[in-house]
Amino acid sequence: MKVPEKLNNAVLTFGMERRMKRISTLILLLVGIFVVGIGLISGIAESMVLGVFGGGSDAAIGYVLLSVALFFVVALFSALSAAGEISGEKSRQTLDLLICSQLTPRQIISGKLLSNFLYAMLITVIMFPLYAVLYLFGGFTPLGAAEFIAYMLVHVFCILSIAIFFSAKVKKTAAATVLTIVTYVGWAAANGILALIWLAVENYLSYTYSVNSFFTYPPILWLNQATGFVMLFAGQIGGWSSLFTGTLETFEALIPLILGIVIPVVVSILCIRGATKAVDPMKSKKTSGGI
Amino acid sequence: MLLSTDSLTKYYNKFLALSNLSMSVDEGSIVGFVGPNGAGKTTAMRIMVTLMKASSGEVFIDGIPLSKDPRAVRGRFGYVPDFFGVYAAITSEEYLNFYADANSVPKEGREELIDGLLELVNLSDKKDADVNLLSRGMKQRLCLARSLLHDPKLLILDEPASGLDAQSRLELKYILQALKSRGKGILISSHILPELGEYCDKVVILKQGVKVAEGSLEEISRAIGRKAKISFTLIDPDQFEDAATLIKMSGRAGNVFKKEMNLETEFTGSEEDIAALIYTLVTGGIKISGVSHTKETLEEIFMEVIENEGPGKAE
Ligand SMILES: Nc1ncnc2c1ncn2[C@@H]1O[C@H](COP(=O)(O)OP(=O)(O)O)[C@@H](O)[C@H]1O
Ligand SMILES: [Mg+2]
Repeated sequence: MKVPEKLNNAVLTFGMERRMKRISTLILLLVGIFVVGIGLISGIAESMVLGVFGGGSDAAIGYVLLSVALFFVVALFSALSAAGEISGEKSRQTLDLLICSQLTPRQIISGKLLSNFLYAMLITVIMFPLYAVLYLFGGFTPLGAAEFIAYMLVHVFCILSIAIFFSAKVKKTAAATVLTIVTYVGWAAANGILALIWLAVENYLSYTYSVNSFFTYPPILWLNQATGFVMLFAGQIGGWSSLFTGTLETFEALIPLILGIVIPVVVSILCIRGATKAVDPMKSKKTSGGI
Repeated sequence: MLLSTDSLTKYYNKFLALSNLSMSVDEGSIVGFVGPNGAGKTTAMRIMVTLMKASSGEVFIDGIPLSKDPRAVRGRFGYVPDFFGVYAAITSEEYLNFYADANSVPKEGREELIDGLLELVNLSDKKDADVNLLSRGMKQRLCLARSLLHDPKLLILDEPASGLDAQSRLELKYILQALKSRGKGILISSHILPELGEYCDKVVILKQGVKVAEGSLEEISRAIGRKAKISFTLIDPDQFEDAATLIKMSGRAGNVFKKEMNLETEFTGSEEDIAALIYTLVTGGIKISGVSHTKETLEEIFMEVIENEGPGKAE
């Protein structure tokens, strides 16, 4: 694989090399996950054979479980590792040496970001065989799994960007980690609470004035990244109706998916810009450097 | 001129840490940047190495204004910070390789370059050692080797000797002298001075953010009117009177004291002036069996300057 000239920088290759050194630990970990996964799937298969649950929906449940687990593993792993990238350089007192080098602030940030992202992709790819096993039992298409992984990677990239941003802004890795998780999860949670309030108001209106909502669910949830995931799963495991009673308009499924891609892309761009500025002493307003 | 600064000023919020600093470093010279803790040395150096913006003023490195082209400037100096760390679990060679990449040093000849630098800083046997396990002095030297990877003409070293034992300081001194002979310009800061004095071509003395002196030790000591001590050993006690008269006639000596067979005086002047005085004495028929003069150490000049000059004076 040829890395484009612009992205080919010392920080990226150094980061990847160092990770590869630790790959043996990773492989061990993944073998462990794999074994657990096989156990999970064979459990489902067994129950299918025994006919305890009906039809192909068991593989579907396995698919959702696996996908959610995969996302959480990769997302958490990414947040933890990326949040230490710049703050770690600060506390190790190596950041100044990078800034004084021929690397531009943009290269430093993109190198950090991409080495983390490539690693996240690697973990994802290694986990992929689990999908193949699930596929054998049917219930979803490989295209569906690929769609999910593409969507997930957009969000992982966004989480990485947020983590790098906070890492560049604060001194402590722990603070950057917490801020990253709070930002990403906090947004979904706050949005969910707003959706509940929306529902309550809607109920009140329909009860008191018989005003009925045009929407199946509060449209504020369009802005919630979890909605996009749910739509992907719902589309995969047997139609929207399996998750929602009543008919879901197509745009109510598509809009959260589109926003679920556009929003993280925009957030990523803003975070990368902010991080780049934060490590550029010629740009940042901060009076002090170092730690 | 490799490095020059023009009226560098730095405020930390309202606090004036550096005030109108103008100074320069030439090729093939070692410049001592001295001042007590908190004088603003690190502040000035961090501005010079593009890690911090000055509140006003400009730095020129190799003639390039820093604020116009920081990247071009970065390729022209090597910097050893006052405090620095290393990555975990890498060898000296990997460490240098990474920074060579970061500094766009070509891959061809990389191995020889790294071997050469490790040899220069006396770490050839530590090529495959874990950098974290190196002693402080070794890390300091490794960091110096790192700063030389892209063959910069200018070196900016922030208190490289602090925390080093006598042996390591001596090694550092030899390395710096070797670098000077290769034509590098070196700016080296310190708050403790005894070793610096011996090999600095020039010192810049900073006090509370203000430059209180710049020049060779001799220039500075003359500027502050501090006298060197000269002692002439005479053979004939009867000549003391005549000798004392001749010494006073030079116009550069203070009171002349007699101590056993020696005449001692405080003398303000260059080496040339001392030579001229000796000539006058000898041609005047004074039998001199020995001359000694104690040049002021950097430490003494420093203490003198710090106590008498600069912003603290008015109080
Ligand atoms: N980031 C900072 N914020 C506020 N004040 C600072 C900062 N860095 C240094 N100072 C102050 O500026 C002065 C000069 O510090 P410094 O340049 O580190 O001196 P030196 O290196 O000569 O010991 C000191 O009084 C110090 O307290
Ligand atoms: Mg300092």
